[in-house]
Amino acid sequence: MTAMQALLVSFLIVAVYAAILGALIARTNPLAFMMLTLAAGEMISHSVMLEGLRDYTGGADGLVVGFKGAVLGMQAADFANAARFWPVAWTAAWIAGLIIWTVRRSRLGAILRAVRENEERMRFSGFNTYAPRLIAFVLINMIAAVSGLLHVLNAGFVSPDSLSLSVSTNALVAALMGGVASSAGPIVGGLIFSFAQDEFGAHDATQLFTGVAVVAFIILIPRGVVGGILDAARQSTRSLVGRKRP
Amino acid sequence: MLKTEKLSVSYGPLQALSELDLEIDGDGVLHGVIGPNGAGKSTLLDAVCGRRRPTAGTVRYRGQDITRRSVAWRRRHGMARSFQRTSIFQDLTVYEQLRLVAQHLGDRRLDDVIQVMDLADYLDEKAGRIAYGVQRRVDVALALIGRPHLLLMDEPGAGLSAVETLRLFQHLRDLVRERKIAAVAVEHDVDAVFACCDKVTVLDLGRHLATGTPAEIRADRRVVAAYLGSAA
Repeated sequence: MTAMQALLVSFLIVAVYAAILGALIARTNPLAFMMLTLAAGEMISHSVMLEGLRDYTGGADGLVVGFKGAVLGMQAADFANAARFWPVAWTAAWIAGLIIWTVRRSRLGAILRAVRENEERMRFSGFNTYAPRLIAFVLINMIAAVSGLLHVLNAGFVSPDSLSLSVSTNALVAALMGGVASSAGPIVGGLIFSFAQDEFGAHDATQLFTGVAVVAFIILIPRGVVGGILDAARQSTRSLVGRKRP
Repeated sequence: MLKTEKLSVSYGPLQALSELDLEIDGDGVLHGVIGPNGAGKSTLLDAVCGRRRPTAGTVRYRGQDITRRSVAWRRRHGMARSFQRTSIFQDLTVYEQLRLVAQHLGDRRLDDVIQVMDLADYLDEKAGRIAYGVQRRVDVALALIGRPHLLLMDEPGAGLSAVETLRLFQHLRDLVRERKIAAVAVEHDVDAVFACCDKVTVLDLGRHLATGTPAEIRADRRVVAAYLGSAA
């Protein structure tokens, strides 16, 4: 199997796993859904440590990932080179953003926004809310799979720590910081979170500052940075329009 | 149009509805349901529309036993519902949400609903930013899309003044007659119900107390004793 084929198979495995897991948990209420998602992550995290799977997962030592030949026209060493890897990651991020933006503007996007806001009303409007939730779950898992594959190609190594609960919660914290009201929110949140981790990580205070940041964001800007900026812009526009009136 | 047979709903040890037999006529009849707090009015609507599964009894809709049908199925087959606490999509514009539901239910006469509920001036507004009275109209408009045969309304006048509630009920009565649909309105405002409903059912402690025209209900001694008192 070539490296490219292996990547595609990995991607498909994630998609199938997401579809099966999603089919089981997409019916649950938001809190149960979140808990089950994290629990499923923990299940995988502990599975890779099983002695019987050590040959495939590397167990607690992790897995060195190397390949011969080319992937996307690049050798294994090229992926470790920031100057070569950056355009690939940047392009992937833009494609993912474009997909999300397109979905958001589509009928499916309108249905997903409405389900997020008031699922009961959607059911009382004749919609089956299970299918859109499942589609969204699989779609977002596929995007996460792309980022995971890029991470592996870049690092050349998979640590069991990358499957830990803290990595999952980091993504939630980043989304909370940026705000989930728009597609840009989680991206902005991710940038802020990564920057903050680099800064505070050096002082060995990552968890402390993460906790403080979560509390501060929930209290001060519950709609996140992007949501807060949008609200402020809307208020400014309103007050300007209000002043112009006689 | 709608028939409940020995319909019972309990919340744990509490019997919210007890062997309720009720028949709702179609063709332009606005049917009010009144009763004191805890009478089982909202529970009745929940059980009829599929939000809560009955512990016993059946719900028949247009001759068919629909007791175990899903909420979405009932909606697609013409049973619509509005809520006591306004249940709309706050972050979508009025038009976005009406269009979304109209497309799904294949209703091409959305303009008709907009006109009937007098929403033309609010179409581009986010629903969360419009006045509460208009939000109530959006709530009813969402239920009216798809030309339902049966409209269930849980306290459509909640949060409105007595005058606004009466006006809304007059509007609903005209709508029900014009479209020849059946409508059930659970309501606390007895004056609005007596003024506008063709039939009234009174519930008390989960049991059926009486059904009749407003005049018959006003004159019913059991109803007066249990609920209306001096208000009658």
